[in-house]
Parts: sequence; structure tokens; C-alpha cells
Amino acid sequence: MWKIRYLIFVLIFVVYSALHIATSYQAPCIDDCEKVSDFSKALTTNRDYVYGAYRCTNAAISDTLCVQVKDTIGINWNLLADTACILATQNGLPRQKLFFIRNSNAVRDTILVKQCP
Amino acid sequence: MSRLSKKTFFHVLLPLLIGYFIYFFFRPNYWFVEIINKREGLINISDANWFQQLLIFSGADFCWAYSLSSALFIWSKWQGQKIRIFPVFTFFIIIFSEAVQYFFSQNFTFDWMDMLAAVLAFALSYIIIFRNVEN
Repeated sequence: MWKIRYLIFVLIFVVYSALHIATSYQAPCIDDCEKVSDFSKALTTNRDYVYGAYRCTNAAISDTLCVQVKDTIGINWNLLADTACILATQNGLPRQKLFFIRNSNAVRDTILVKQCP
Repeated sequence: MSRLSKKTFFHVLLPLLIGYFIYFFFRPNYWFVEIINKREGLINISDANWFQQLLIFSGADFCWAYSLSSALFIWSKWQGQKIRIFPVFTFFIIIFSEAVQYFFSQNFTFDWMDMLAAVLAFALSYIIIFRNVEN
């Protein structure tokens, strides 16, 4: 009987360890994830009014990117959109639809939508 | 339904199921959900408020830790022999499971909120199961 009891104890550990690893393991950021990450880094470099870029949806295949920006006066958003398109293409993301989302007093609104060539 | 089965269902299986649903509905980009069914989440995480994000990111860890603590406490009572340091041992396992992620940061993400959620889950399970508050 004691063998069964300790077998159950070991089983608990094996099952929970497997579950923990399965739910904590982060798949490596490759392919599209890597491209989006590189694009986000390029866009935020030297631009403190850009928080970052990410895929707008969790869909497997997507051609939309959301760029989160800080509500800043004096920024030419159209110029930023053109630059973002160039950077996206340089990072292997051509023909993307970019949504520029502004954070202002906890309210989020889309300030510009740009279809990259 | 025996008392043991009831305890096992409500304190071990149900929290695991809730934790799985959190991943399935809100974090479908996780590899173990993707291999079952590649689909979009019910809400975009970046659009969620802080409380929703807390539930999505730390809720599943809370459920897992609660379920494990309860499973170990139920086993401890079921096996008959009284092991005084068993709660300490369980607490160590819970802390270790979260802390070890810090040392494998390439594939795992250590988060203080997850650690806090796990400690709270252990405390709740200790009070309900080990100290027999529900009896």
C-alpha cells in the first residue's frame, strides 16, 4: 500500500511539473515575431514618443501592425507613418497596414491609418 | 461522491481547469494552445485594463499553485502519517517553481506578480485544506 501512496506522490510531481513547463515555456521569437520585434526596436530608437509596435491581433497570418504612441504636440504623424513604412519594409514587413494608436488620459484612439506600399 | 473525491474535484481539478481556460481563451498564442487550436484570443491583451491583465497573466499561476498545494495537502492527509514539515516542503516547491524561471530567462519569464499569486494560492490552500477550515 505504501508503494501506491508514494507512486501517487511522484505522479503529482510529474504531472504538475509538466503542466508548469507547458504553461511557462516561451516559444522563441522567430520569423514574424522577430521581424515585428526588430521593427519595433528600430521605430522606438531615438523617438521617445513611440512606445512600440506589435501585431494588432493574435491571428496566425496578419498584415496589420499597431504602433502605440505618446500624445505629443508638434509631431508630424504623417512623416512618422512614412518612416514607419520604410522601416517595416527594411525589416521584412512590406505592404503592412499601420494603425497609430495614441494613449491619452487612459483613452486610446487611432490617430492615423497608413497602408504601406 | 466521497469526501476525498469532492475535495480533489473542487480544490485540485477545478482550479486546473480554470487555469487552462485562461490560457485557452485569453492567451491562445501560447504554443500548447496553438498545437490544439490556432485561433484569436477573446480580447486583445494590450487593450485589457490592469485588473484583466492581472487575471490573464497571474490568474493561471494562482490556479496552478492552488491546485498543486491542495493536491499535496490532500495526499499528506490521505497517506496517514503526520509529517510536520510538509507545509514548509510544499511552500518551498511553490517558491522554487517560480524562482527557477529567473535562471532560465531565455525561455521562461520570471515575474514578481506570479510569485505573489503563487504564495497567496499556497496560503489559501494551507488555510482551507491543511488547517481544515472548511470542516
